[in-house]
Amino acid sequence: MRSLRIGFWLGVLVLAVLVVAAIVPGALAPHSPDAADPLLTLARPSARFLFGTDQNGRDVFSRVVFGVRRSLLTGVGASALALLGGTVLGVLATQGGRLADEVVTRLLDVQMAIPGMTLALLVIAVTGTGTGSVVVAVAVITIPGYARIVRGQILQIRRSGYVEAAVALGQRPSTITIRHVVPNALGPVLVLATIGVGAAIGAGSSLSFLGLGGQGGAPEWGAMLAGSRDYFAVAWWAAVFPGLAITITVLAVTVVGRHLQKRIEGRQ
Amino acid sequence: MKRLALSAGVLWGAVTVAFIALHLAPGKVVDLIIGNSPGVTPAVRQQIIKDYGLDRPLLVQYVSYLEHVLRGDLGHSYRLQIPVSRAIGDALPATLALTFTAIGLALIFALVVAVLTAHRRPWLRGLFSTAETIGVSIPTFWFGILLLTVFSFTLHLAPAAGGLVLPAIALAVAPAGMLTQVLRDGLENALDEPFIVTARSRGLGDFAVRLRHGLRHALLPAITLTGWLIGLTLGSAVVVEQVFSRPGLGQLALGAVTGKDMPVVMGVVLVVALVYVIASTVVDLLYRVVDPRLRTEAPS
Repeated sequence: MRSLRIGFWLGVLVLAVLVVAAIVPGALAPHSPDAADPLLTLARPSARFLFGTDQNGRDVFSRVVFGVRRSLLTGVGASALALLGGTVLGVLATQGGRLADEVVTRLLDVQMAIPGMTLALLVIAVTGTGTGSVVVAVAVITIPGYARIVRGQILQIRRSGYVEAAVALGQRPSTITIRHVVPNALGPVLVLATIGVGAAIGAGSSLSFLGLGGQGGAPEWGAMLAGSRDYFAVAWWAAVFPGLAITITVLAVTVVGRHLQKRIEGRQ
Repeated sequence: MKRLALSAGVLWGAVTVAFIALHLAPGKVVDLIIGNSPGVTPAVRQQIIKDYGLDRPLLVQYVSYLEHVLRGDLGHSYRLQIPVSRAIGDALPATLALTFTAIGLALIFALVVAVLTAHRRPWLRGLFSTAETIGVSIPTFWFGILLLTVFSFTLHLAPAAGGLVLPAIALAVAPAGMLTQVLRDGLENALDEPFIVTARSRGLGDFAVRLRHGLRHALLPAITLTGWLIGLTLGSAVVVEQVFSRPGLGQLALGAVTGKDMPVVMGVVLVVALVYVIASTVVDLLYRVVDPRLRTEAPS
């Protein structure tokens, strides 16, 4: 239990540093992320360049720091979008009558059959490449998880005492849904969304690595890894540090999210 | 029977999703079908419009697309100059080999670790469960890059491209983490059951109890998860294939997305859905093998 607590506070610490990096990257990064020095390409990590330099002679550490904002925004944006979409689908399934429920559950079944990455490729084939497309694609592949839980929660809450009381008081069904059912259903879903931010950052960086994210050399972890692809053999640092950044971020979000989940479950 | 209808429904849904995607995409449908391929003459363009019935109402186009798919005709890739079914047929075996090797590795790892660590000393259990959380958090493509850097470029132990082992290991990490967690949870629940005490009181060794009595109960959720993981892994193969420059379904799909070759993208979606449906049917059958109680249920 004590080691769990240490993990939680480590996670919180990492997230705090990341938020600072996202808001004021210049405060942490010693160099400009775009300052390329053609005389210092693929330089080893040193006191001057903590994580070494990339194939264009840019400071990998500064690029990792400046890449935080894009990664966090992708993760949070995609999760928020998925949460919204999942809630709408879940409410529709439970309030729209039997036909709506049938359509939504079948749709979720179909989505199960098209795994994440494949569905993301289909979405990007439709929307075209770009940062926005990556956010939408990651949201689309995570919507069903939220929709299922919202649907299950609502069905469970509907049988609860306080909803019965509201019905007995003569409140309208739409009022009961908005005032009582949805707010109570959202708690567990919000926790899931917190954990989901980590997975969304991972998925987003995978799509960027495939070259489907934004073009034009802005610092982004997945794109940095793709750029270093041809130099793995000679410059391990250009491949190791951006990936480490992704892993640590995903890990921190997951650990903190799971801790919150356990606390909420413990309370119920 | 019900099972079969459900599978058919899912496949029909996948075809519909692909069809809707084609028509949601910006630009003229005929251009999406041609893709970024130079050298398509206006005459060929007219022929495509006629073949796909693109001048007819949407519903008619939909029915005709369903008809083609049912006949196994997934259209033509003008970018690759071959039928989509052939492009997929060429790429699928390599990706299936990669996927099933990875799932096999993940299962072996999960079985061994779960059996050895369930209800063991806290530090051992903690060590492995931390490793599993890290395993699930590491991006598959980055782990692939690390393996490549260490084993191919530094130790020169494996070929930088084409090999099966390294990509399979990279792909197996996340499924292995998830499977181990589920298996150990199931095993620990089973080991707390009264029948385990009975088995132990008959003088059965600890290892035999775990294998013969505990594992069977822990397997059901793990089997369900495996069915789902096969689909997931098949999808994730795209990034691993990219890292290891390994030809396969992922590279085909990625090329199609960047080359706006819609028939190939749609074909890949359908084939992946088909593999998922087959896998989940097998999972259902396995259920009955592992848990005989399910066999006595009224056939549905």
